[in-house]
Amino acid sequence: MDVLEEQVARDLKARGFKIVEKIEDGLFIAEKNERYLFYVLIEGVEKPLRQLYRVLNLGESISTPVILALVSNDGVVTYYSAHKLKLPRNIHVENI
Amino acid sequence: MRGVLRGLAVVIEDPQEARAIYKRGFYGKFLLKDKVKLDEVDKLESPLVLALYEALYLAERGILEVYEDDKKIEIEELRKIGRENIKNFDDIYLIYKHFRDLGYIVKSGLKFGALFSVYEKGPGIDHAPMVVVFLEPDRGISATDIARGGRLSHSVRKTFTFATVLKPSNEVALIGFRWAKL
Repeated sequence: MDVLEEQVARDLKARGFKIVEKIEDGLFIAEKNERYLFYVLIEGVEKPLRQLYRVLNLGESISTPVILALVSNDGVVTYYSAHKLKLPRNIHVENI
Repeated sequence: MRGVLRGLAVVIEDPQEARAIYKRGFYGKFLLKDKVKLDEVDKLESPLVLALYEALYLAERGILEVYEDDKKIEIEELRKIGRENIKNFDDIYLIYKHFRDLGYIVKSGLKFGALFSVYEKGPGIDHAPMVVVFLEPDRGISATDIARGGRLSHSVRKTFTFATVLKPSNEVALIGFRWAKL
């Protein structure tokens, strides 16, 4: 496995996570108290938007929050949660 | 109401019309005044400056007519001026319209290093606007894009939003991000 991707697995293990299912390279489910769908983004490697969308849809369909694992080119990992946003009508604005 | 196109912005010269447009949902900015609250509007005599996308939205809704000298600028012509001068104008306009149609107040995001800042109640009232970062539709997404978005919003709010327009449907897609402490 790519050494940078491996860093994510190591980092998660160190945080007490267990990888429960590998879906494909850079996409897996891990759990600690809750299950999360992890998607790895390596610094400098652009992923098509539709691929991110596919991951968000998968997360929705299996009711699992999506976490993006950002890996710097020397292996430092930062996590962001991501979700499709559906805004309600703004109730604060009247008569506009 | 009547606005005058001056370069890439539209000016409402008549103070009464300027106040009326601003009150419809914080459209535009009064010259030399920032974050004007609705109850402060009636004291102002300044002209109102509308961004091109704001003017286009108001023109499409039949609220505003835009003139250059004494010639009326049709809506399609206004759109063309935007398209020829502002990068990704059509997509940015669709995103602007998406938020406005849902009743949100949309202002420039420049001071946040983003496309738009979006308010529920209005600038100067909401303390933390939604910071919206534009993602060009045919571009991919990178780790740096996301980390940068996080930096923009740290001082404002912990979540930030990417907006793009899906092709070929032209559907506006919003993705919310938040730094995750695992």
